[in-house]
Formats: sequence, C-alpha cells, structure tokens
Amino acid sequence: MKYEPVIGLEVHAELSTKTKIFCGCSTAFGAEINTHVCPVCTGQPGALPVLNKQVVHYAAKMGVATHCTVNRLCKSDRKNYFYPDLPKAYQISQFDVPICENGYVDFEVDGEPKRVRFERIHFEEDAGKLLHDEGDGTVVDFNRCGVPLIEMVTRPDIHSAAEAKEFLETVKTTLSYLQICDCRMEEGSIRCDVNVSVRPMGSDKLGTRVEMKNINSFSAAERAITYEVNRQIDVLEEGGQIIQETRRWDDSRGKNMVMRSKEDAQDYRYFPDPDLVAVEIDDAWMEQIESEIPELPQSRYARYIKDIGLQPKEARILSDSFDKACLLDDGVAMNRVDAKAIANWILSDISKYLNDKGLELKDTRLTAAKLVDMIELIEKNTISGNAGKKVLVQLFETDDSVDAIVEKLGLKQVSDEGAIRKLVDEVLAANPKSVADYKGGKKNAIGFLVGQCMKASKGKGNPKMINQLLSKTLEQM
Amino acid sequence: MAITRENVEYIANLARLDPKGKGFDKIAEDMQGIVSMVDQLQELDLGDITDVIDTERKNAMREDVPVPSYDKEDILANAPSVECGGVSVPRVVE
Amino acid sequence: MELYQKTAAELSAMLKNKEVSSVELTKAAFARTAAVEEKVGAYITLTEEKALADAAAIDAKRAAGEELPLLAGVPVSVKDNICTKGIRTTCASKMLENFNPPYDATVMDKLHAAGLVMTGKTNLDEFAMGSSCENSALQKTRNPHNPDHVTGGSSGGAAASVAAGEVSIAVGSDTGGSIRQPASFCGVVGLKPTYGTVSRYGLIAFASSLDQIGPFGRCVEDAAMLADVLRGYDKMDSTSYPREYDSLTAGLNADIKGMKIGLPKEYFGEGISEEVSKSVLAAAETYRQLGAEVVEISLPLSKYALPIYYILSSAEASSNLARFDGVKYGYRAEQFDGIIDLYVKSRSEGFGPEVQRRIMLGTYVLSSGYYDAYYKKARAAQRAIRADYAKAFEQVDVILTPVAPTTAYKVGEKTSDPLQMYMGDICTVSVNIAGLPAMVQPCGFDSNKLPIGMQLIGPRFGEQKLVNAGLAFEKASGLSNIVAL
Repeated sequence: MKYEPVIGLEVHAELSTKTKIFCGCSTAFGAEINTHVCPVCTGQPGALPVLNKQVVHYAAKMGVATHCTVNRLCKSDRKNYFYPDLPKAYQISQFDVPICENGYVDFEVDGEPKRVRFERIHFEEDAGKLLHDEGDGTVVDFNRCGVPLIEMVTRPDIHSAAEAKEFLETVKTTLSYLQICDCRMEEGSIRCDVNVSVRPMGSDKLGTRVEMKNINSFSAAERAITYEVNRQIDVLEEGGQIIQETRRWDDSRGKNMVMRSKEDAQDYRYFPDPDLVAVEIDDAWMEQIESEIPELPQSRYARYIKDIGLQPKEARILSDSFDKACLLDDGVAMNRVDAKAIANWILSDISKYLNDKGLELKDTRLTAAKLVDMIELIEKNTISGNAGKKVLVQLFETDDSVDAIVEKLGLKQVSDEGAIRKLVDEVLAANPKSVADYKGGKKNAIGFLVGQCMKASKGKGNPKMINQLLSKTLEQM
Repeated sequence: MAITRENVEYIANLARLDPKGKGFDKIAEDMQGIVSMVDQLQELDLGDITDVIDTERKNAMREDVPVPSYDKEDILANAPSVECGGVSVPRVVE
Repeated sequence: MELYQKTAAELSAMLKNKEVSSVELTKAAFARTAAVEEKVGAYITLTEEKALADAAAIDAKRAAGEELPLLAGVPVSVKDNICTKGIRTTCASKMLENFNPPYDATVMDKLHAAGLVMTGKTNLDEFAMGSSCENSALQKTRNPHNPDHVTGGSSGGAAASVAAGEVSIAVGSDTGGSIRQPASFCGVVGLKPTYGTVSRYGLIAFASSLDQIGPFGRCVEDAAMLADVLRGYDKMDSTSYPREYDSLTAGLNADIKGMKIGLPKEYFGEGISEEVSKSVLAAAETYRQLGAEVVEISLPLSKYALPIYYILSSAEASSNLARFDGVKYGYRAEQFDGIIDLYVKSRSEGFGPEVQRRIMLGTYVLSSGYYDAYYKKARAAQRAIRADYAKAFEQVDVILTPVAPTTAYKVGEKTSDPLQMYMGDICTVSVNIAGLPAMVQPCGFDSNKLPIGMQLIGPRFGEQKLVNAGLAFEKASGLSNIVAL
C-alpha cells in the first residue's frame, strides 16, 4: 500500500530583542552561566513580569508577513508544569487568544508552488538550560529564562520531509527579512517540534499522530521526518498500530525513542496571568507594524527572474538573503549600471568573499552606492574587471571611496590611444615569431601578444583596446 | 461535585504534593466540604455575563532597554545546592 | 503618657519639634516590644540593630536641617510576606524559614524614602492563607486584648504589633480581609487600598489579582499618613495604575454632612452575631446624627462572594506557589530519589496543611474538565459582583458593614474545621473581588471586652471618602488610639 505522510510543525523562533520578554536582562547568547539574571527571570518570590513592547511588535510583524489575522486585543496566560529549567513552575505564554491566527506562507518545492497554513503565532518566554555536571547531577543555567520566543503552529499541510525543509527555510528567510530573529541555527534561535502521521494514499482521514521533540536543525527535521514516516509505515505494514506518544529525536544515532505516552499527557491548567494586563494594538500601532514589512522573498524572487532575467537558481540565492536582496535592489534603484551586472557581482565575488570569510554582508562595509560606483568604472573602461575585484576587497574592509581606492592602488586603465599604440608597436617588434605564427594562420597567437602588452603596461592597459589595436595592426601587416 | 480518591491522586500529582501522610480519604473529605461550598456558585445564573479579557488595565509594557542584571551570587544565595555556578538538582533526562 | 501610647501623627510632630529623636523612639519601641512580646508574639524577626542605625541616620539628616517627610523617623513593622533585601522573609512558612530576598519590595523602597524605621517582620498565617494567624508555622501570635483569643489574620502580627503599642503603624497585606479582619479583632484601624494603587512588586504573592498592601494604625489619621507613603505608580508592577494621588492626610475632613452611607441588607442577617450587628448599626446611627444620610441598599450577589473568592484565590495560589519546589530557594527535603521526588517531598514537608489544602483546591478548579465550571464561572461572577457594587455606588458614597461575623474567637476554636474558618471571611472577600478600597476601625466592644470593628467600603479610588467618614466616626465615638495591655 502507498502511504501519505501528514505533517504539522511547531516552530519556535527566538526574537532578537535586546532584553528579555519580562525583565531588562540581556538576551545575548553565550554569556557565563547565570549572569543574565534578576529576580524576575529567576522567579524569585514577589517578583513581577512587565511585558517588553518590542516582543508584541515583532510577533505582530511576523503575523502580518504571513497573512495572519492580528488579534488587536490579546492576553498572556500561564502554562503550569514543574521542570527545573522553569523557575516559576509556569511558562508565560498565550493560550486561547494568541496575537496572530490563520495565516499562511507560499513557497516552491521542486519548482511546484506550495502553501502551508498557520493555525496561530503566539509569544512566550524561553526556559533555562540544563547542563550536566561532572557528577550525577544536573545544573540549571537561567540565562535563557525569559528570552522571548514566538511559536508558530502550522496546519497539517506538509506531506514530505522535503516540503518540511523548504517550509522551514521559508520561515527562516521571512524572519530574517523582518529582522526579528538572528536565525543563528547553531545557537538554537530556531527550533521545531514535528507532528507526524501517515495515512493510506487517497484517504482523507488523519492517522494517529506522533510528536517528535529535540530537533535542532532543518536538516535534522528532514532526517527525523523521513525516519518517523518510515517507522510508522513499517508498523502499519506489519499490521501494528501507531500509538499516540511523544518521541525524542536523537540526531547522532539517526533514530527516535519514546519520551512519554499519551497517558502521561500534561494537564497544563492554563489561565490568564493575573500579573499581566491585556495587550491592545491600536490603529496607529498597527499602521506602524505594517509599514515595517519589507517586500518579501517570494515577491523579489519572481521579480528577479522577470525584470532582471536571472535564472531561478540565481534569483533564489539572492532573494533568500535579505542583505543581498537589499544590496541588489538598492543598486538597481540607482539606475546607473546594468542590473544584471550587479546581480552577477553579488552572486560571484561578493558571495565568495563572504563564504570564505564566514561573514554576513552586514558585517562588512560594502554599500550599494559604492558597488555601483565600482561597476560604473568598469562599464566606462576606467578600470578593468580584474581591478574591480581588487577594489571590492577594499570596499568590504575600508570606508574609502571607490575613486580613492582606484587612485591608491593605481588601478586606472591606460586608454590613451597613442600610449597603447606605442605599446603594441613595441611588443610586435619584440616578438616577430608570434607575429609570424599569427600571419601563418595561428590566430590564437594574439593571446600571447595581448598578454605581453598587458605586462608591458604593468596591467593597466585597457585590454579591449589592446586587443582591437593588435588585431588591426596584425591584419594590416 | 463529588471528590473521589482518584480526583485527589490526580490533583496531588499535578500539584507535586503527597497527601499520603494524611490519608487520601481524609483529604477527599476535606476537599469535599470546600468543593460543596464553592459549588453554590453553580446555581448562579449570570445571563449574558461571561468571562472576557479584562480591559480595566491594558498595555502596561516596557521599552526594550537593558537594565543591569543581578550578581550571580545574590541570585544563587538561597539555593539549597549549587554546583558549577548553577542551581543543582538530581540528574534530569529528557 | 508613654511614647508607645502615642499615635504616629503625634510622634511625627514631636520629631519635627525635636522633642524626641528617632533613636529614642526606636529604643522605646524595642523596649515596649521586649515588655509585651512574650504575651503577644507579633514578630517573626526583629531587626533592632538595623533599625537603630536607620534611626540615627534620620536624626543626622534632621540635625543637618534637612526637610524630612511627615513620618521620617517613626518606627513601623512590616508583614513577613514583603521582601526585605538581606533580611529573612519567611511568609511564616517552613518553606521560606531561611529565605533572604536578593531585593527589596517597592514598598520597602517607599518606606525607606519616607524615612520610616522598620522594626522587624511580623507574623502571618502561612503565605497569608488564613483568618486567625494560627496557620503560622513559625510563631504564635495572641490578641493583645486577651491572649486566649486569636488576632485574626492573616496580618495578625501586624495588627497585634499596633494594638500592643509595639509600634504605632504597620504594613500588612489583604487578599480577602487579611488587613481588615485582624484590625477588627485587635481594635485598630486597617485600610485595604484600591487594587492597583500600591505596588505588589516584592509582595510574595498569594492571589495576584486580589492581593493589596495596606497600612495599620491606631487612628484614622495614622492609617492615612502611612497610606500616603505606600501608594503610587510602580513600573515594575503591570497592574499598578499610572496615576498621581493626592495626599489623604492633607485631605482629611471630618465634616461629613450630606454624605450618603449605604447599609447593605445582606450583611446584617443570618450568620452575623447580634452583638456585632448592633454595634455596627449603632455606628450608622452616629453617622445619622453627624448629618449623614443612611440608606438601606442591596448587594444581591453577596452570598456568592465566598465561593468566587475561594475559587479565584486558590487557583492563583496553586500557580503562584508552584515556584516553591525545593530547587532555587527555600526548603529542600533531605532525602529524595530523583527530581519528581525532590519536588513532592520538599513541597509536602515545606508547606503546612492549609497551604496544601488551597493548592489542591486551586489545582482542581483549573484542571482539565473543571476549568469552565469553576474558574471561568467565577471570573464571570466576579464581573457581576463588580457591577453590583458599581450600581450601589450610584446611590451612596460609602457602604457600612460588619467586618466579621463575630469578635475574636478563642485560640484553637476553629482550627479543626477549615470551612468554619472560611465562613469568617464572608464580609470582607467581595471587596477584593471587586478591587475596591475598604477601611476597618473599632466601633465598640463586646461583652468580653473584645473589640468590634466596622467596615467602610468605598468606590474605586475613593479612599478619601473612607478616611473622612472614618475620622468623623472616630471623633464622635472617641474610639481611637486604643492600646491594649
């Protein structure tokens, strides 16, 4: 029998606010154990939470960007359970009235359009981190307690591991476009839980659902889903039944294990947090939120193919990165150089530099204006393409103008016809054998002669001009 | 509503309490008295009045501005057991 | 007249006129405490050394010619569920017996800024759950009017410290009557302010939506003066109102001619002792003679206040007290097997029976399958109660009621029957449910010479009306500044 997987995801993204959701402690990653702590985030008796406005703002932005209804009046609720990483023994979250509901994202899987709907997006606080000490104990680090999260819950619209991965990439790209999440996977800034069931192909009944936790990367999500789908199919093929349970994914061993069964299901006793008051987003605030939504990747992707004539793969690379897309669009908006030339520079030399150095565009000093200045000089034959590469390195690392860099490095091309003619004549005189070869039909001998001219000009001769003059002179000889 | 021994066990487990010392039946009896008292509320007909989001106070929020954290020593001073700079508990696996 | 018999207002004047120093006052307070504390047992912790240092600092400021707030240099006791940095804050529980908060509650900052001198931390029912102060796991407090009788609770230590003259003023907290009922039992004045007017930051929560800190004194003026210090917006408490408050003290006015006072008929029927009813009705008569208009009103939902209160307060408590799990602070069981056992043993051994009872009830009313019938219904009914009061305050300025069905009962009389104990809260809980201000002051004595109190309930932010009405009665009755023992 053929089976269809039915998959829903719960994605947690840490918001890139400066401070925690309910106190002024820093959210910076990687601090020494228990140094970003105060009475509020460590649940000291008597301490009270005060909501960070930016959290509401960011969560609503994600809602708008994913076509959700933003609830203009929402509240905070307590989710009660005991765990050592949860100092108050309740997590402040949102229950029956989340800030955003009923949205979707569109993306492509293998060139086919796909839509995954969101049931809800809500804000909540992160828990602390449990570390194992040298002995047989566990040590609690409260630094992460109270770091703001949004949880995005999808409808069960995903039907393969590949779709799940593409969906997650789309969420990540959207978060980075909105600049509300650092999206540093290695720091756990995006995590997800996965709900998987399978059903006979063609059936519209949902199978028994298994929840999987401890998935720490998108590729792990792909592996975990593939494993779980196959596991469930195997169970059914052998005549067994799927048990509703929570399983823990072990990425290093490539398998999952039962964490808890349905019988241990928690009764979280949600109720409105009496320490917090209602959140109301008025029209002015909503307008502000909406005004901050940039053109999103899907739209830019389509535009790059249609307007600039890029290949889908190229358009995808550019639209996947907010920084690169902005660099391109800002450069194109200046309307001074060929749009495709800008795209090519970003796709090739700029991407290579960033990859080699392990940097993000925002970590460098390159601006769209300077990139355009540089390309313009190439188009005007003031510098060569090769010289442009040297200029680019300086643009990444210094605040100098393109002109100043060209001047400093002496990269200006010699395009004076008299000077070039002199070079050509000298080189032809000094290389009679090559001239003879050319005349004898070995037309590629011209390459050697161009090289000699470039060398004689110390690399500054305009290669196009040299080429033209050489050809003309040789033909006339 | 009637409070059963199962109710008591279930609630005690959620609340991480162990009423065994006192006996589940005694607890159930105690709770039954109190629950019967609060059950008086069931007879009250509230008409259109429902539980809604309380808007008496709203939008008490802070700006995203850092405030200095506390010293680790001050926050951990009351912890029954501290190891490696953090509160220590028996090994937790999950 | 001894120093301990003076009101805070009198002490304030003496300090200002340099007739006495704060150090002298503080020494006198501790001397009085040493003399009576064995009988009263108001305090869990005394902080004499720090108090004397603080008093000396105030004296130095005064000597330097600094303009000081009204109550600067006056000793005050603080209920032991309010966090004091570095000074143990126990909530009268084994759970927090050795807990030293890493921070000060906002009201402590306010007391400090106003120059008050804290004498120590007063006893309460464990985590403020109780109405007799007998649920304290750490200390026994007795009614200064008769040590065989309870002080009331939960702020029993605070009320007793004021009634016994150990201090002139005290800070307590009120979730369902915890300031008002012990004030009534001990013959002092207690004010439960409008919810959201005094910061709860640093008050160890019992029921967050009902808890409110407030003052005790032996006269209305003292309570008003301390309320002025305590009130004010706090950005650390999201439920605190961002507004300014006029001084109640400056606004004191005993002329209440034309004031409309409501007597809710539901508060004078079955369940209220005749002595209490009579005394409160006599107070109403006094008001009539003072020129007030006294009218009968109805608060028809009064009988549901108790169930609503016990559902909401226990639900919130079950969540608020979950953090006491033996992990970060407080009691941890000596022997345990794994993390869950650590939780269960620490909590079962660290909490007393009443606290556990309320956590169980609160967990039950929030649990799956019961939430709608209990918690959600109680929240809706809370709105109905508020509407009830709003309607009443369209007719009257303040409402006059008894505080408790009886005067202070005997120690041990009700400890075996929790439900009996809960019934004692019927006159006070609806005020918290509605978030209103209410003040209690003595209006007479029963046949055993135990004080009878009366309660004035005001509309939201109506504290000035309460203290004015209270002052008028106090002047007319002479029932003011009663020092027991």
